[in-house]
Amino acid sequence: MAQAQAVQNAPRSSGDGSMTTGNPANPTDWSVGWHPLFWGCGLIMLANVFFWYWNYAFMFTAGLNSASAEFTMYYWTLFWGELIVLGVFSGVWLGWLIRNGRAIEGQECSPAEETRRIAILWSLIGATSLAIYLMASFWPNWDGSWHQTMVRDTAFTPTHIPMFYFFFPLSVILAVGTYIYGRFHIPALYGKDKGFPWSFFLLIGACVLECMAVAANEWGHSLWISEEIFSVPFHWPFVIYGWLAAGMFAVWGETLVRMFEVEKAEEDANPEASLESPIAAD
Amino acid sequence: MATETTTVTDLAEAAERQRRLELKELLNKKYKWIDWKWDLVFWTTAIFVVAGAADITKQLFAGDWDFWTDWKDPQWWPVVTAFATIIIPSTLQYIQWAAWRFPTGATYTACCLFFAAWVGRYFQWDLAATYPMNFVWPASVVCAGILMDWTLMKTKSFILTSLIGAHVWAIAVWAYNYVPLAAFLQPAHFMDHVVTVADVQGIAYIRSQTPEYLRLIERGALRSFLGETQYVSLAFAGTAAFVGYWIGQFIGRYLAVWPIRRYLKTV
Amino acid sequence: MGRRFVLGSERVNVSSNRYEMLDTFTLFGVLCVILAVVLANPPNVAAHGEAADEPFLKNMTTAFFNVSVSPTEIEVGEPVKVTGSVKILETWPHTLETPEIASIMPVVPGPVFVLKERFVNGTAAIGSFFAQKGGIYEFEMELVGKEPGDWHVHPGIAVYGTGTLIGPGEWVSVKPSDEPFSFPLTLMSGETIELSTYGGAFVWWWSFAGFVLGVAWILYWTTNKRTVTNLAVTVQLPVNDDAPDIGLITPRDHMWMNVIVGVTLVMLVVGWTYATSNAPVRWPQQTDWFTPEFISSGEKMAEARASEATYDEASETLEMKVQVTNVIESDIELKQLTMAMATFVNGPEAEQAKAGPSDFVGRLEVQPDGPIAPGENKELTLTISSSIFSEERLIPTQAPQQFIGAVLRFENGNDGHELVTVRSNVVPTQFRSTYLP
Repeated sequence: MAQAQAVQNAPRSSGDGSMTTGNPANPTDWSVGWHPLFWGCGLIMLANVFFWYWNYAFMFTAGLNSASAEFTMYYWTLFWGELIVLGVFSGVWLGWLIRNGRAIEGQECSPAEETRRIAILWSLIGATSLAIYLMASFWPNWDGSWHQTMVRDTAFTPTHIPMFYFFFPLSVILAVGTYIYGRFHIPALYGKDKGFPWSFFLLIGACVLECMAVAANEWGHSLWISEEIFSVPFHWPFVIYGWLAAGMFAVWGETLVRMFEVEKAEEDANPEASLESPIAAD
Repeated sequence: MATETTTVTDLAEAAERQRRLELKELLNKKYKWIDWKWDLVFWTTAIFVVAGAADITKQLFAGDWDFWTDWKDPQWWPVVTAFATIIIPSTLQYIQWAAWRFPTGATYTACCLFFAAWVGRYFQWDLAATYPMNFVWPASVVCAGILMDWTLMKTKSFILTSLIGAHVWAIAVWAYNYVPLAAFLQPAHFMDHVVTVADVQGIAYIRSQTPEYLRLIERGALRSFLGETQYVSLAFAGTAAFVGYWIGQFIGRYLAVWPIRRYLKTV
Repeated sequence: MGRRFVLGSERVNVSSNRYEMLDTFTLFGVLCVILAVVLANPPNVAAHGEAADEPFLKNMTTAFFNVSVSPTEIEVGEPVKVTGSVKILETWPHTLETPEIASIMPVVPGPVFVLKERFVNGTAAIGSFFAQKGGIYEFEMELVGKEPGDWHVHPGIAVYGTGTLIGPGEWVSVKPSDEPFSFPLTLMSGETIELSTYGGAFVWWWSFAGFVLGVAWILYWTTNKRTVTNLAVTVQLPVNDDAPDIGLITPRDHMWMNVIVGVTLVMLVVGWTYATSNAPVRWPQQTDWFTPEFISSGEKMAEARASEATYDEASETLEMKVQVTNVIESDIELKQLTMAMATFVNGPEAEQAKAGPSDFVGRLEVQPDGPIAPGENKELTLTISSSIFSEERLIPTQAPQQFIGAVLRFENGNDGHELVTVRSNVVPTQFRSTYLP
């Protein structure tokens, strides 16, 4: 069964005849385990470039007054559009992950296949990392400069709309999706019997709490600080919640430890095929 | 008895030597699948989360001082910047030392922050909002990162690094950024006042939502300092950086490393 | 299997694949057309978010009058004068911090102009000033066009804890110039610098040089050694063991790191020496808060009290009843009502044209019109119909502070005037049912 699963999931052969049948030829080829990294980051950057261009083109012409008809046309449309896109994307992707995951649940997989899956998990984590940068640095910078042009607008501004309502929820979707992937595909680490991992609890918690901090922030602005001071105390939850994303390093750490176990299992199973060859230290 | 003890000690030492030889072998082991791509993917993808964490920490703890030259004053800027910028470098210093035994965490974070801050300032503040870069340039902490990583490498101790490195950090962040700031502190005549070039930038480049009164410029009595506000602030900046360093250590130890293979609840 | 669908009036049979392709292409085409139309017709709105502010934040806090923005067509590098007055009203809402510190500033979309001069009540104002309820602040600002474009220019007053409150604005067209924008500034040393670019290249190259050293540091470790596999070893060692015997941190590593640290320190010393010799005289940043000279609301001539006001949202009409008593020896007349950034004039169009930027000026109808005799007590009905009310959301229709504040300008025949602040409850003429809050 494990063999069949591995064959089913086997990627294109790398032409390395030394590999056994049923194992992916080289699970860590760029085009095998790592390809979601390029797709994921590419799509996120594409979305970012779109918002970037949109704001360069329209923020000073249509984005200065959220009560205006122009704002409705250019920015409320964008707002609802991005929510629909995110909703559809999360439904399709998370649904697909769960459906595929359930289909393989309980099946064993070969060390090579598990390696490929861990590489995919790292790829998804890489995409999440990019989304976190965009939500924590790229757009907050723009938000800072934008506030200088305004006397104060609503919670919906040309910078808030991509930042708070696209990249913030996107990071939640990516973190949750990555966990769901691991939950079904890397049972040795994230299987149901293990419980919920602290690493993902912190990472997902960071992203979810950031979304919640948006509400706290806007509510705070309704009470105090009509001027723009970035370092006001009620902005600090954004930072402290952000620190929880350190859980990402725990994901890297525990998957690496698992990789050592996978390598060991492969060595034990195929000692003759092991590539172990110590080299001299400097 | 003495001979017996010596023998036991010798055996223990021999075992330890053997263990370290095995570790040396393990260090150079060639794995079947864990190849250089894993290193590359780790270092490149971590750039983003590290840059984001470092930049949001700086922006929301000390951003106002970092955004503008006229906020980079002798009293507040050294303190808030040293505190805000050391937190994530300290976190990464712990992670990278503990995991790879590389004294690179602070420098790596500083380089990530350099990338994030300059991208933000150039594309968002300069191109989008037309604030000139010579007004909104970000402080750089790379030099401080190098010195703090070097301190860890030499001391091999986080306690000593927090005591020595944090003060080095505070002074290095200030000194390194004072070099480009110096030109903006020259006095000039503007609006019937003698003000610094930085002040002129702050007045002339209109900030509709950051009125002048928000700027903390040597507020308070400044009593008995004999004009030494700068030095007192730098000493306190070291203390603030020390606190920030241990906040960073907490993040590294308990939010990044401790959770490895720990689970909330077994179902 | 074929599918049938309607294309215009014709029924067409196409293959499934072709149908899907056509459908996709059609959808893509429609989206492209919409995007092209949207991109080709960028609008240009004149606002700065103030419409989103609650009405009390505008009409109960300040009143701007006699505002002028001139000229309205310039080239890059040419000046624009913004003048006028703002009164901090006695009706200042209790929900805001008491006004104590304020700053006058232009409100524009970023630094598309630079501010060259600013006077508040005749004093050059580099910073902020101490303000109070009832205070009148006359301002004069000189802006210089920096970025080409059509920009809406407003005066504003930032009040600590309340934020920036906006005055009436005017479109200013800044045309490109043959000469690039220039901002010469003469230092006390006598040297003249170009502020737009001064020090910018040095900041970048200095910061970048440090970055290069940092990258060198990182590359040393990441290219000479493997990274992730070290974990298998480090987990078996105490955290303060750098294990030179195992090869984790070797004497060679120490040597090269010493070199990079040495270069860093040399760079710091050289940079410091350069900076302090290049700018030998350095000052701390300057701050100046002052108390502006008092400006009177004018000779005491009228007592006025608003008794009630109604607002009809459909016709954008405000009606207010005001009890006025003339307390001087000559006739007086109500000439203007100012609410936040809008001024309404009881007079012909020529007088309206002088009252401020035209988009923020309207007609004030006073019934009964005409002079109020000495000692006479009269109830005046003030009627204003203006789209400004809805565009700027000046009148509360369903707010926790259902009040309006305004400044009435009374004039006598001897060039005397008085500004009197009134406050009234305002009641909508229609109450609308709503499903959402």
